[in-house]
Amino acid sequence: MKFLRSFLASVAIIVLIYVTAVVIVNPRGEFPSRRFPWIIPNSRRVKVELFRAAMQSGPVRGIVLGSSRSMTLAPAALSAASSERFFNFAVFSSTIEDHLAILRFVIRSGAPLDNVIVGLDQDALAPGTPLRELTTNIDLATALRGESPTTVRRVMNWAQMVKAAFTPYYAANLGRSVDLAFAPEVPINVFGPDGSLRYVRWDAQIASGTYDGAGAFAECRRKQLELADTNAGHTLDSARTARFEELLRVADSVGAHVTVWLPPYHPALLQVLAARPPDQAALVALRTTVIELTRRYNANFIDLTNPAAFGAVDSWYDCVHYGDANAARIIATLIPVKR
Amino acid sequence: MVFNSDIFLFAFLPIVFVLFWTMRSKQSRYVIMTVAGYVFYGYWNWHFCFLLLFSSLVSFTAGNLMTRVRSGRAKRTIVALTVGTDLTLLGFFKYYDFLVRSVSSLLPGVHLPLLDIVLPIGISFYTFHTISYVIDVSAGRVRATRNLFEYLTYVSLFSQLVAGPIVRFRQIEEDLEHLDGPPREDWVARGIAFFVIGLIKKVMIADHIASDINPMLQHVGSMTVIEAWVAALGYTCQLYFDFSGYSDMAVGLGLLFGLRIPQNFNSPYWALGITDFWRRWHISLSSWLRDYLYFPLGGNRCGTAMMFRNLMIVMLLGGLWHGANWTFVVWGGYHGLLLVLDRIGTPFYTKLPRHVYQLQTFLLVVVGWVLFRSSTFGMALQWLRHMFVGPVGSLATVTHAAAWTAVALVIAATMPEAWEMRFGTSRRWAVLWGVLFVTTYFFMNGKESVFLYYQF
Repeated sequence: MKFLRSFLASVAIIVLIYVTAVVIVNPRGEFPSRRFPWIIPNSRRVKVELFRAAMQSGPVRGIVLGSSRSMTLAPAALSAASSERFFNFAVFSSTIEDHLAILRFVIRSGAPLDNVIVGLDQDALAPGTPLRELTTNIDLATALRGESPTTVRRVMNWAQMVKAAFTPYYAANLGRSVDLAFAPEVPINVFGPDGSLRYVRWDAQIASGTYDGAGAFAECRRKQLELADTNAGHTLDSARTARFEELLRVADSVGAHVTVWLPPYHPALLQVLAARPPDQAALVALRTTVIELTRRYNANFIDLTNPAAFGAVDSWYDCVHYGDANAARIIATLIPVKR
Repeated sequence: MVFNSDIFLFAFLPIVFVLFWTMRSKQSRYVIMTVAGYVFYGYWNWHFCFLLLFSSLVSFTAGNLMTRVRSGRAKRTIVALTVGTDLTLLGFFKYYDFLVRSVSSLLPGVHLPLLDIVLPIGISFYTFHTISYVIDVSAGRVRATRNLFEYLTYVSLFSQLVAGPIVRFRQIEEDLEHLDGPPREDWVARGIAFFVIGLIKKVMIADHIASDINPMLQHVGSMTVIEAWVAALGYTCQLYFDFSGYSDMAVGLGLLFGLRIPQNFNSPYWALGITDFWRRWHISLSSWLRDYLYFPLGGNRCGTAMMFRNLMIVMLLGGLWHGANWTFVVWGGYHGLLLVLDRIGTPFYTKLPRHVYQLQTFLLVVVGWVLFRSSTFGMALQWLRHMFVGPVGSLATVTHAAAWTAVALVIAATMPEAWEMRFGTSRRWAVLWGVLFVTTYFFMNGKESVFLYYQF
């Protein structure tokens, strides 16, 4: 069995080397190491850590939930308007499960919440399943299930994260992260300590006039239409609608006021979507349901799908992600209610 | 449970391997292998373990009964009863609903109840195992074993239980008899090599192509000529790498436990003629059909017309064996016809340049796979039509699928089978297989996919 021992030893050594590299390089920000730059950060993991750090310097009284389309809402501006400390807990490709899990996690962390701002993407209540980033996040996954993370669960979760690193995609990210450490370049985005996101590379490119806005818009349009096609013909998912109602109930139970808003589309994309009856029907169905539920729980509802609703200016990265000028205008319409 | 799953690779296989080699006696190893086989099978649906056990007990008992009777008539009766029982089970579980649907469409007035029966995976394979055993015992080609666990080990051997190769008892009898021997370094090395090569074929080639062509096949009606050909050639490669990969893994697993499972593929797309193709593709099935169906029908000893009839019967039944669908029957008939034409045209074909004959054979096989892959005749006809008629289209719309298919075709056309490769037992070889195993795992992690032949 000498051959078998050599085979198993070589497998073990390769695995050990790779796992060590993953933990040290940490290309997605999932492990404690911060020696190398992140490539497409695991926003759920990163935000949980940032939130914990934020809570150590004082209670957070307001949170922003949502997807990347809510990430640029600056907590500082919200705090200035409400005199309350905000944290932006929006995560990439969020689903309604993320919103509920994060809300429960924040409450479990002892934050005395007064305000919850929920940016609900137009497909938020369409059928689908939560992302692996959520289901493998011990803090959020247990919060979603209403459980507490035990040591065994944390170990299992760590093992799951390590196992998930064994993909070509992750290995490429790892390589890219090492590459960037030796040949630094401006990262695409950076999270601030208050959870807000800044697209630093794009901002620099816009400032220097090298940003490919048309290309970014075309790619974004393609993805949005693909997403719309996927959701076309589907009614709202009853389980996800129930999750949304649960979110309103949980917030209500701790006395937090909820503002639900629908993020804007670029005017050109809005025009395209307006000519597609299934998309309009889906939007109407979402709006109707959200209005009914927010009314039931005394929450605010603001529809900013049409950028004219907040007086948008020409400040867009692509067809759904907006720049600071529009973020400021959106915040002005979302000024939280102080209780 | 599938070979390319975490539960198999990191729990089932290591546990069974350690237990097997820890045990010293032959009997305890039979028991370990039997239990392992039933756990492996029951992991999918434990209820069907009883069916497997029943089928095994019937043929085991029949084998032993035949050693006690002397008259040929009594033996024939036992064989008929046993084979009849096996085929009844297979017929009921695999073909009952198919039969009902076919009768209903032919005779609209007849209303037989549909039972929506769940097909027990592997039933086609282990039924052939048990039938071959009983027939071989009756013909005196093999001595019936009196050891129940030796027989149960043979039928429930997890490496070949659900998708073959169809191993005959006599092919592994010697190894089963010496199962208490110490591990052989060269067999273990070869076993690991075969397993890793099979895993690479399945995960890195077959699954990769499948992810490209499966979406294309959902829109067969709107395919262009180029898309239809890419899909057909892609499926041709997917099927070969999937099934031959599975077979390599089965051989490798067998070697890890001291059992030599026979070769199932021998570069089938290099075949010179359809007859040669069937000597190279799914060898264990084609040789089974030859020995237990074609020869008993008279083979080629009763004149040309009877030979052609026999070929057609064998291939039609072989097609039906693959699945309860008329498309499989027609696919079998298509190959039967090609075999007949191959026999008739041999004097002409042998004058063709070698590569031309190979290419012609390959293209005929590709056309057959279109039938094989199609769930309905409508789909098959549309697909075939788009391969020859309609807008040509552009490679740009299927670049990825075409590139992977081209790579797979080059590999299939140039690389020898694992059987023809020489593997060393040095540490360097162990490291090589270790690196390849981990690399392959990167591509299968989180993407468990079943083998195509599990459905048969």
